[in-house]
Amino acid sequence: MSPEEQSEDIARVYRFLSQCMQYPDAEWMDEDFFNVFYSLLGTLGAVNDAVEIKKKIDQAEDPVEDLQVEYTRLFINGVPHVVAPPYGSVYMDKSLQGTFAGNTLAFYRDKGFAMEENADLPDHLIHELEFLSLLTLENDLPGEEEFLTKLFRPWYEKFHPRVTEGAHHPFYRVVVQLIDFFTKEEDKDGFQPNKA
Amino acid sequence: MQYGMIIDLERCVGCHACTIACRAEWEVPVPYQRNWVKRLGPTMTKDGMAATYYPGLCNHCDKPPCVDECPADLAEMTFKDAKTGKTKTMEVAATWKDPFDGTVQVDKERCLGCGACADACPYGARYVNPALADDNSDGKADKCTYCKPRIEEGLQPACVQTCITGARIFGDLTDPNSAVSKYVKNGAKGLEVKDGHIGPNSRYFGNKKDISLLFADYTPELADMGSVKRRAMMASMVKPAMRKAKDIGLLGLAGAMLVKGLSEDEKN
Repeated sequence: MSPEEQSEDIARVYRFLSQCMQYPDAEWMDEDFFNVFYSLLGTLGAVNDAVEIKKKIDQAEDPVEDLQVEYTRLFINGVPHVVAPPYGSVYMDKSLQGTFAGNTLAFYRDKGFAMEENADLPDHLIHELEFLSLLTLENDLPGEEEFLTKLFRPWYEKFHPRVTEGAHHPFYRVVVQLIDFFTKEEDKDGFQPNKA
Repeated sequence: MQYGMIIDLERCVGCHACTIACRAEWEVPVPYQRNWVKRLGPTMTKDGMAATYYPGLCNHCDKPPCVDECPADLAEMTFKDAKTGKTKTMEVAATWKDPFDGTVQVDKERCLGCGACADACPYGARYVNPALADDNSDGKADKCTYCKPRIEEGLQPACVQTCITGARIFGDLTDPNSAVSKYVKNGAKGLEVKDGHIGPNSRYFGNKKDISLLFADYTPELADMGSVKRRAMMASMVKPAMRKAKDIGLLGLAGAMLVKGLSEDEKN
């Protein structure tokens, strides 16, 4: 596989994970989507995770609505409090849109990217994954490493266990584990399936 | 014995006959190459105005970084010294350095086509040939063999035979009387990596300014194999699922939140 082909596939993973973190909608979260998701887990040796999610999805009367409820509880507005806001500043500055968000935006701009008007805050997990996808497509490996080290991993390491511990649905528990796996410096132990 | 090749830049006229002979001899598909000629200069160097060529190929290094990266299972192989008939059995992956003639070779049957060796080569002398793909791989690693099959028949490498000016000289670097050894005594040197020692055995001879230009432009660095390996492993793992995602149009949905389009003014 050429370095360009490798970059394309890795960029697709970042983009796919970004998609997984979007608010669930039947328009994209359909059978095809789940088949790709299970296939990815299968190639990573996480068959048990795939089986657990599939069982939950297949048994649900309205699986997308279940995931909408879970998404809202985990990332938007839970009672008594949201489990894991997906913004870097929340973990690094203890506030929304802190200096960490500004630094993230500055990094995007330095690489020639801007936020669209209807976008969420720059340090939202979805945008950071999209940005990694774009950097990878440009074969900017040093940029990707720098972003991961300075602006992604520091907060993701605090966000990830909150989701793992607070999730009621296996889908998000596994999605955050996948993101962790693909953004870690060292992955010599391979993908570690979650303990159900 | 250590086979090596001298490239005499004083003789090279940049005609590319060597690259064409190599492509024809080994059916190297475009855009890959085992052998290349790059034009350098005219550029002012500290030794004066220089213009020359960089005819490159595998360096069959003393310590080839490509060999160490091959992840294929080890297999026992017996090597034979063509001169003395002596044999040596070693466990090797799908690429190795021959203990008798010092050339670096590939077993295409066992190659996984992962491209780790190509990533590790600081000279870009390896490629994964997609024309050789099979059920288990996207292709096979390939490179200059110093035309080993031709050498074994008593011939010269194709590039050496075809060179119209005799700018390529092939032989045993450990034989003090060989033409290549005499060139080394007269100052021919390999493009050693920056901050390392891998001992390239394809070596360059020329006037001071041309050599200075060549070494300034093409002294390579060793690849950071930590990140290269991680990348190759990740890509090969996710490929089937991600190509499926692309086929069903799933990957276009999330985008459009970050757009590239800042001018230099806006950045500042």
